[in-house]
Amino acid sequence: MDEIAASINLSELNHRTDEQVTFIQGILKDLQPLQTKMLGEKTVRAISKGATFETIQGGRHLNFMEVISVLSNLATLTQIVVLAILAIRKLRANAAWKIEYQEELKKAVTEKIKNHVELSDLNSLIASDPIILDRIIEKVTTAPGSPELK
Amino acid sequence: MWRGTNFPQSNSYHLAASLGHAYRRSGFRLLSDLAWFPLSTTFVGALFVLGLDWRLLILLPLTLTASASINLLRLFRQTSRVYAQLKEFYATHRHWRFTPIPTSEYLDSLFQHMVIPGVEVPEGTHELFAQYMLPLSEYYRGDYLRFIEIETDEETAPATWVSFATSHHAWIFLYERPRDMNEIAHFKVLHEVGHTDPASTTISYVARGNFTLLFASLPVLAIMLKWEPATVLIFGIYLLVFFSLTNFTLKQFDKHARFKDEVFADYFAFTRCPTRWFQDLSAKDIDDWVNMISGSGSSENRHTYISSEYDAPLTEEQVNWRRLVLRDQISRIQKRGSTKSEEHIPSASFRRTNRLIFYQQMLLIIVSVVLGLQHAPLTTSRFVALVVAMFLLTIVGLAMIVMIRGLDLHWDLNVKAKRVSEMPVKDQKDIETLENWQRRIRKLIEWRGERSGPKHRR
Repeated sequence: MDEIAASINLSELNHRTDEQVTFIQGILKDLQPLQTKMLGEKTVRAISKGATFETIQGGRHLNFMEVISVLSNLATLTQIVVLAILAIRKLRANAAWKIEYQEELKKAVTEKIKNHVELSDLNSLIASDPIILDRIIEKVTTAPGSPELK
Repeated sequence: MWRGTNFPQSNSYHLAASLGHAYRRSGFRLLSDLAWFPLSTTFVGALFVLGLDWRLLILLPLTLTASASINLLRLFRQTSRVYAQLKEFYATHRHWRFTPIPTSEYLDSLFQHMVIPGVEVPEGTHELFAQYMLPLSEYYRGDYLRFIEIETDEETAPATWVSFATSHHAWIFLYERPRDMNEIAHFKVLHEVGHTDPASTTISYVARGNFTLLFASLPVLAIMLKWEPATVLIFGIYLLVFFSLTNFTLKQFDKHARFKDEVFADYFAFTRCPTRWFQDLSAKDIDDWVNMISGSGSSENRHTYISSEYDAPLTEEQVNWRRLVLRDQISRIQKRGSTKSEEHIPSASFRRTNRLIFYQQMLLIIVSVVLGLQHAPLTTSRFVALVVAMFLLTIVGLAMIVMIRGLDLHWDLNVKAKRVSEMPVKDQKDIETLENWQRRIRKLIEWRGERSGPKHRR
């Protein structure tokens, strides 16, 4: 498990391919249907790409920073899970995906997040919603179109 | 293609009546102007004593012109403040591109979402629809509201949809084209449109710059009045009321105004959305929806989520209250198919402050008139000095207005926020009553299939 955690390459966290962006967008829509509908396609795409969101000062405004932050964290968590799967596949020499890897995957991701201060928001997210990681892993490993699991 | 948003003038009275409190606000505004600028009211007091004098034929119009000029300046200063915010917004986000969106595109998309395809749309509906969905100012001015799309490089994106409203123009900045919007996005836009309606306190009659008016009045008052202990006493009372109104009551008003603005904008959107948009929301959906619109209300989020450097954040109590109002409105829509009128949404503290403003302004007017009774004899030298002072005041007021209007032009030219020209509109001949056309639009929006006309006629 430590080996997997060490192999997750976080430098790729914000370099998402178009395929990954579309995949994350789909996961976000599955996990938070109302929230993604509320923010709209363009904003959800920007979140999935890892864009930086800026608030506007003055005037009268509807500010969606709070919900954008939640979805951004989910997008990052999804990307970490994808990177973890890539790491496992690399370590297991391209062996077929097995259901028992899921527990291992969860532990590796949790471990990786704990060791990185900049991911403290994700730590809080997992702490506040303990099943969120399970749900993301389930979505990523079962969703059709997952680019890494084909 | 949408035909445009020029409205048939014949409907103006009906439309104005639809926002009756907009008229009441005009009365309030007049009262407010009189109260803040002692020149005209003091002069009225002086008239009682002076009686008929040919010199008054010169002084009276000059007083009115000077008052109007300085009062307008106050209004334009309010506008200028919004322009300053706009320019700062533009400067801060200069890495974004701003593209004007034709109002017709917005209305077209809204119409497609609201009216079920296949329903027969009677002639003239589009014009009435535009009247119903856009603010009153758009109806009168025709080029009031401007939608602008924010385009980014995808590295950054706006977390906010924002509107800037003045009495001349309003701008709504969106991150999505109306044609790509879903119904929730349309609710959000309608909320922003609500902020640009004159009935919203955003373009409040309690404008800033009251001290300018007081200072502008001082030279004239100094020449006009007989300075003796009684005058000083009356003037002292005037200043006391003036400062308590400015420094206490209006600050209280500001605290509630933001909350009232948001509730009004929510109400504006709710009353224009088809009830079917909210019918299927579950209790959890409603909770999520309300949280997204109003924010969580937690103290650590309120500052980043709701406030800006121009506005104090809503208090935790106000955020919770707004959530309650939102939840109540959706629940009413689900159960009864209608919303609670904005005027009936309880906001006791706001009403209390409004009443206090009214009484204090009345008091200011009365004291101004009494101050006028203390006028000095109108000698030739005093008459000449008054004429010169009022003339100069008018010139200064007008010059400053021209300068501020110049900012308007500057903004228009530089931000390219010009409205994309609309297609010509066919004249609407028949006059409809307010109730009729509102009912027609609501009926069309709420249509549930009892009619079978498949045509979509324009």
